Amino acid sequence: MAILDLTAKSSGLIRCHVCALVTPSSENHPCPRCATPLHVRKPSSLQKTWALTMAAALLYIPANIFPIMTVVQMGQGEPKTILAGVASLIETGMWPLAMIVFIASVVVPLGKIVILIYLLVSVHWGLKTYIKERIALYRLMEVFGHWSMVDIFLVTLLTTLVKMGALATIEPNRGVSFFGAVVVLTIFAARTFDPRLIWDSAHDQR
Amino acid sequence: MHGIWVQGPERVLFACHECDWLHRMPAALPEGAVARCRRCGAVLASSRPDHLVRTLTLTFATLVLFTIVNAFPLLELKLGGRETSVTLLSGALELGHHGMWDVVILVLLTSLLFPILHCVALLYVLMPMVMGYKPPGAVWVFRSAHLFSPWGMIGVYMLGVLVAFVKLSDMATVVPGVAVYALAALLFCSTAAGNALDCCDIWRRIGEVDDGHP
Repeated sequence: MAILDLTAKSSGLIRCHVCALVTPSSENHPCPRCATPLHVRKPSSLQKTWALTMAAALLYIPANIFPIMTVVQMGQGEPKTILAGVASLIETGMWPLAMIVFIASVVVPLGKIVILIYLLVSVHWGLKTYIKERIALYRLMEVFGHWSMVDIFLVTLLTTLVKMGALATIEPNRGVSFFGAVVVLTIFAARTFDPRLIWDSAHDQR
Repeated sequence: MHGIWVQGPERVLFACHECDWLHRMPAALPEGAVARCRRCGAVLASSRPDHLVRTLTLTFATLVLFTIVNAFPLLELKLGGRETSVTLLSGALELGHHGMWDVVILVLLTSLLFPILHCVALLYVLMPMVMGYKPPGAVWVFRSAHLFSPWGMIGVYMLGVLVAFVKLSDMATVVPGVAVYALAALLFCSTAAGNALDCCDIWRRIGEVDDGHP
């Protein structure tokens, strides 16, 4: 494997983001192999990622203020938010479950938003250090990003199963929709961010 | 055109998807080889022996297991002489009774539609390819498979089922259904299929046969 000490961009080449073919072409021209419009970098990556990240951060507030489900047992129970749900799992001694739910619905989405903001700011400022660390954060986000869906699947499973009338019922609440929106927005935000910008800004001669 | 950029049947240019660094590599890697980016270490391409047949078999198994998962309950709950059960589909549709259609759509897409479409798209491209010809519209279908893949969340769904199981064991008798075991097997097959899939080689084959009309 020979190295050329160059990026595709600086050589006037474009890598197709779908089929990986590298061709001398220009922006928006179709890929000769799979006809996907080619882009040197993901188009308006920073603007789109900022918009999606901010939307996710905003919706994270109602997602945590509104209850996500109501557990009624023997006629008792009230709507609970995500954090109250984690707290009641701890109260009943279900530590491992509490950890899973806390990591999936609090640490992962918040971590993703914080990482995205840090990556965006670092690219804007043209940060030239910590490249490997930032790439590691990006990869971490890609791998664990969609695990926050666990809470949504959990609510659908519990509400379908627990319909025992007076004995026990579980009902979903509006917070689920907001939380779902946060998950979808953070996934799109991570996908619109172009990791090549981290390397570009680091090697920029400014 | 500069001589260095000339790509032939033996050697092609490869740009890292994470950092854009250029590499000159053999068009077909030796079997079992993994190519990593010199600058950032990202995996550029990997080659596995018999990847076409292997991916095809595992994808077919995934699809068969999907029908089993859909036909049987995932969990059954027994409390005070009453019984309820949940399947992949009934769980997804349940929130519709509460007017949360946005969540219904999200769950249907991520736990059912995208994973199934991904399998079907792969089968459509791989089956004829194993037999030595190229299916019509292979470019479009394989590109769609590429778009669906990040939205399939079967693994996350499995974790949701396990958490629900443990959480409910506290208040009632929970019996794992046939679908849970099928789902575990499905997860294994789809992960193995994903690992066996050699996208670069499939695109190369699609490109070769499709020469005349890109």
